[in-house]
Amino acid sequence: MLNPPVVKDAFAATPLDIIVAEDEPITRRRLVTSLQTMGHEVRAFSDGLAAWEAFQLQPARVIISDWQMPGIDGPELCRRIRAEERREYVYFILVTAIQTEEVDYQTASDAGTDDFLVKPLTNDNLWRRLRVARRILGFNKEIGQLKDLIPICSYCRQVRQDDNFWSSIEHYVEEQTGSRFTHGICPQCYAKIASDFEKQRAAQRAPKRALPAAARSCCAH
Amino acid sequence: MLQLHHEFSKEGVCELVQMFKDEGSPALHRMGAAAEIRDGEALRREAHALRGAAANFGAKPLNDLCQQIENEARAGDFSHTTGLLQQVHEEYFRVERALETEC
Repeated sequence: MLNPPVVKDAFAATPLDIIVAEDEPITRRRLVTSLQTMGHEVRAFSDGLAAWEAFQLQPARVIISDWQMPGIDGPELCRRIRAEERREYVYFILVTAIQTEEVDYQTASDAGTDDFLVKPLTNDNLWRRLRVARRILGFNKEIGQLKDLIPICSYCRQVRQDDNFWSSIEHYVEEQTGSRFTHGICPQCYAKIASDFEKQRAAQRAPKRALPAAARSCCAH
Repeated sequence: MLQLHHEFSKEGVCELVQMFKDEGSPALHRMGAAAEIRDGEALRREAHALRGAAANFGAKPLNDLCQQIENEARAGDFSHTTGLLQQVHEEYFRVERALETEC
């Protein structure tokens, strides 16, 4: 039904699991056909509540939702998804009419919308938005891996990198994220180090112990 | 319309046109009924749906008329509704005839 999209890129390879929520049948049909022809897995619903229920049963990585729908509208659907504590990020695209007020965009952004598509939809626009979605979801996955799967030595706290090279955790995080460290001391470590230091000083101040009797007798004359 | 032809095969376009024709007349009827009983929310909803459908075919005048009805229905203003609905009918059938020539 659909001619192949003109735009190609490296991100095109991975199919996305997408939920479409759109009450207008022609736009919904057009969206579904376009997305399927691009190779994505699509589940389509004619109102926000049905989409929400389907998402709860089986989440999707991307939601493309119309703004005004019966039941719950697009921003509310987004709000509900954001309110759930999910490990995997869900990329939410809101479909808007041309004449949308600035205040509405603000409401949708506050609800957690990532991107907007303006009707009438075109394949090129859809393709570009999904390219961004895939990129953001990829970063999210990498961050998740970075957070969850860092192999670290239990004793010296060095981190093992891909090439079996061990480096300090500071070096590893700087290299992976670009974050930089400033070094300080936390209250617990400060208390411990101050206590050790006090013990050392006390030992230095204590009077030297008297020599044993044998030593004294040998040196008495 | 050009955009649709660019993106869809002829059968695909005809399928969408058929959907528009199937949905259009009942939608116009529902809009008239909502206007008659001054149900602003129902009128707004129907006008919004027809506007969305029209946008797929680049039918801008129909889109704009529906937008006007939508705005006025939202504001509870029915003073121009009868005239606007008449224009929507005429424009809808003009679009329908134009779409029929595509299939």
